[in-house]
Amino acid sequence: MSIASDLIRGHTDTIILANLLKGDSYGYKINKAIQEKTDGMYELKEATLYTAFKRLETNGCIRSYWGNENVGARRRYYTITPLGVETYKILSKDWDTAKVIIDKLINPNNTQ
Amino acid sequence: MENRLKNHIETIFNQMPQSQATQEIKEEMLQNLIDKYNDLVAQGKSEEEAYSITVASIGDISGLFQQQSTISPQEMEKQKHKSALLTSVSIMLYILCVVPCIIFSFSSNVMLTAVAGPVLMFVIIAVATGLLIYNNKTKPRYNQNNQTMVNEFKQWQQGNTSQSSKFKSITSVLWSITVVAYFIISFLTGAWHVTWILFLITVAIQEIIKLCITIKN
Repeated sequence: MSIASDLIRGHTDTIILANLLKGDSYGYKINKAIQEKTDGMYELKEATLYTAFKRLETNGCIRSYWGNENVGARRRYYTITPLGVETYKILSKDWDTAKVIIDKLINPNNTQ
Repeated sequence: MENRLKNHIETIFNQMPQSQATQEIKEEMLQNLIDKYNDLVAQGKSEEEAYSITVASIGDISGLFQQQSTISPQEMEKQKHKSALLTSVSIMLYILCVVPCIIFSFSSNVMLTAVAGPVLMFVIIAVATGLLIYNNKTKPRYNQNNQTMVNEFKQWQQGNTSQSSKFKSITSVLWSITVVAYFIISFLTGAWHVTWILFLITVAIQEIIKLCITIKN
């Protein structure tokens, strides 16, 4: 799990952007979606999640706003910007390329 | 249980810089943790279990504040250079302030010798003092959020220097007396070409006082 997390952590931004493509969301909802998608195999740490939110917001990929819940504390929602959509496309393309390369490189049958 | 989570959040954010941004992250994180906790309980986990899973999912929050330091090291370095330049210029002005008096003392015009020289000198002193005060007010202090040993030491050191404010008051009194004495003696004797030596004597006295204080400590 820990080695896999290290591998996945580099793609936190892509994962969050992919999640927001389907609509505005907030921290726990995003994390829960990640958990469900991976059948509980992967989950972001809160700290990692907020660091990524902050980074993406600074870069202009996402925007945030406070929801108006009637009960309990407010939730902060995130929404993806056009720049964020562009970034997502580039990042996922990068990953597709990397995936092909790494597959080739680590497959012993492919080495000459 | 919500209170317990809240307390935990308060504790881990205790050492973080208290700013608007921190408050917001705290609020956001707390709500998400409560959601998570309730979800876990709903899934059939015991309260204690749910609490420990929730707390464990927070991770290391120190990374959240790494880019929040208000002054970057480069900026700090630039400020330091500026401060050094300002100090040097003002010290230079202090030294040069007697030059008009010396130059005008060769003039036969009484107005120049008796008025223009001292007036110019005071103007230069005022400028130099102004620069020093400006420098002191604008210089960034070591109250950064970094909790490293070095910074703690620097802060402690700064506290120490403020203890030597006694020395500062002594020297300011000393210099005021010197300036007054310089004018009284000079006007009375008219020996402007000699009396500036008073300033050199004062420098010597100041250094002796400094030495005494250092030895005493």
